[in-house]
Amino acid sequence: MSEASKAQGEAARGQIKGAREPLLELRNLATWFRTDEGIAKAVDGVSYQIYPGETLGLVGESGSGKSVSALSIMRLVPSPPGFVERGEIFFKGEPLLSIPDEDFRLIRGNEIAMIFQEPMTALNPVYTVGDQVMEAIILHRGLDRVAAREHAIKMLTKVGIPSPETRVDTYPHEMSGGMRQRVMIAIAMSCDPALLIADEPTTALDVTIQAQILDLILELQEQAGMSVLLITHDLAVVAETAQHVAVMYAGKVVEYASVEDLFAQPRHPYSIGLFRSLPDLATQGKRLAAIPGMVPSATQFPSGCRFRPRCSIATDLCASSEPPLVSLEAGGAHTVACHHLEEARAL
Amino acid sequence: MSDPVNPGNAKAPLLEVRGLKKYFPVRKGLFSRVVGQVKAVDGLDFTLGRGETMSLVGESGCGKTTAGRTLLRLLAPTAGQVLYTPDPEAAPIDIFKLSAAEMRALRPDLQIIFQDPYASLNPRITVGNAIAEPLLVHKVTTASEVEDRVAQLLERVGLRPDVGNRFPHEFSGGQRQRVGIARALALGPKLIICDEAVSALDVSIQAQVINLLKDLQEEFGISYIFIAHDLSVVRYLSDSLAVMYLGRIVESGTAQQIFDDPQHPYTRALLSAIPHADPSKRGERIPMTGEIPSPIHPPSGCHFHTRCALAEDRCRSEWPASVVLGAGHQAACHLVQSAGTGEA
Repeated sequence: MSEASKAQGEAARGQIKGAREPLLELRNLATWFRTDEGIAKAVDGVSYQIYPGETLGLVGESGSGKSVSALSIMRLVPSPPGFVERGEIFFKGEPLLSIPDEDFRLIRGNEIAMIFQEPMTALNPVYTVGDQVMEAIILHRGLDRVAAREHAIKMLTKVGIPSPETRVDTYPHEMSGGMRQRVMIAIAMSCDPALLIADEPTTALDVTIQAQILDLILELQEQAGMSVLLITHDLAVVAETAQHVAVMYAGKVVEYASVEDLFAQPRHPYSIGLFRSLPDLATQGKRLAAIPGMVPSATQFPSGCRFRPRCSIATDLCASSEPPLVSLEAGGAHTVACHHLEEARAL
Repeated sequence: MSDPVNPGNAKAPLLEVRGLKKYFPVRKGLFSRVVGQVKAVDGLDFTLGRGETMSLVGESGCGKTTAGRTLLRLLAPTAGQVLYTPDPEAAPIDIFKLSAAEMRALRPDLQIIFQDPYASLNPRITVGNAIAEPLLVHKVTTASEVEDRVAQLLERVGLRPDVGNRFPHEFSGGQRQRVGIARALALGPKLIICDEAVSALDVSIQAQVINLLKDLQEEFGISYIFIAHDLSVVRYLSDSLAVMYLGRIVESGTAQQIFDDPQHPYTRALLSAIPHADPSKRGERIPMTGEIPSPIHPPSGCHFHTRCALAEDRCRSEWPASVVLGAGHQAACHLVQSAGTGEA
């Protein structure tokens, strides 16, 4: 990436930021699942915004609801047992949830695309990678097979697959994990989406290949000006790529901030605990400040604040009332859901 | 080359590995003719001190897992020596020369914890029985005492002592990994190989398990060999480190030497690929293009030359010998002196 294009990207981003019209917005979304143990409130009142050209990092541990919130956007939540209980999703200002399934197919894979953690399971083993890249192009762009194949080769070149003219006819099992993830990205990018949802795109990859894939996503993002929703459990990956971060815990967003603000000073006790658990921030030899206990089951969330059983500063208030997500300062973008922000400062 | 990692260790090291090799045959055709060899591990030398932690790091396919399994004889070695010295006063035991019966007698000392606690526990056996099994097989506990011992072990790894009659599916990933640790701990091991033991866990749970492993090391003087790809965990836990690439160690040294003063171009690129949890440190990585080549046809000369920005003609033809860079710090690179003066 040249310095000039980088500067251009930054400038474009600055302008868009000024407008502050989110590309995608979740408002109080709740996606629940009917299970034998009762209702699992996997996503339970989640709000976040993604701005044009920006990356939102969605972090949290397994079971925090980050993937389910993304699957809700894509309408890929298996139903039954899953259903959207309440809330709304706005895309380019339009409410998404009221669009009929037929029409939504024009958006999914076209305007909003998604890549997954396991490129081996996400790709179909009995079709060549070329067929799979072409499928979306033929469906959404109406190209014939010859033109679609040309476009597929162009996409494979763009994502850095060596000798794309021959690779287009190979099967997924003939490729390494990093190459398969590049194919996934080629499929996702083939229709120039406005929003790319990347669900743990580098978790299964080696750190060197992770760096290559993250660089590729950033580069394509700058070229195309698209937004990215990056779901990860790795705070360091967020630090390298995102402009904003939403920290999720037990189906809720507990903190939302710009990446600079969050990493400079996390304010929610859970976010603080996450940062303390990172081995690279602790000096060697000292014990890691692990968060005691574990994430509660989605069918049995505790009353009030859901982090309360693992929180060292919880009080009776935390058990009786659920803290709302509030701005730290009027109109500020840094929001936190905690009753005891002052005490949390001393953690 | 005999003591690359822990020099100046007055006591005899717990484990000394010399020229460890593990080749797998490549078979093809109707009669499964052997047409080649995958040199998964191709001549490793390292030592592990008592109560210390050594890490083997590298990308997938570099041979780190095969190395761990071969030195416990879970895979038959192709060549090499593993000298194990449980009693510093006595002569070392050459693990590869032991009979099956002698090896079985030594198993309690040498344990392994696997990455996937879902796959390594039998779903139809209660965790109590899973932990009791090694105790009974090796006859270290009588049947009447076994229940107490299991409860004691469960408590030691931070689980409630009464969960022994539950099945693996009733536990979370972190709890299952604690069961795996309790099982490894049951026979009072001197060495535990942790093969990606914390990689599958969430950050906050991972920290709990890392703390547990450290506590056990202090309490029982256990040595660990950590096989890992997460370098921030490795930095936190290790005394020494060996970086592997395509079956060979390219650089070894103390954790401080490797992280503060990496010399091999591969080590440098690998370390620079780690994302920093600090948005102000974004960006500058040492670019490393391509992926780890196939070990069936490794590149000639230095295996890393195909991805190395500094490669010269002789890197393509000659395998570089290890160069000693300081006490216990070695790197196998033709350019390592010039790299040391900051050219890399």
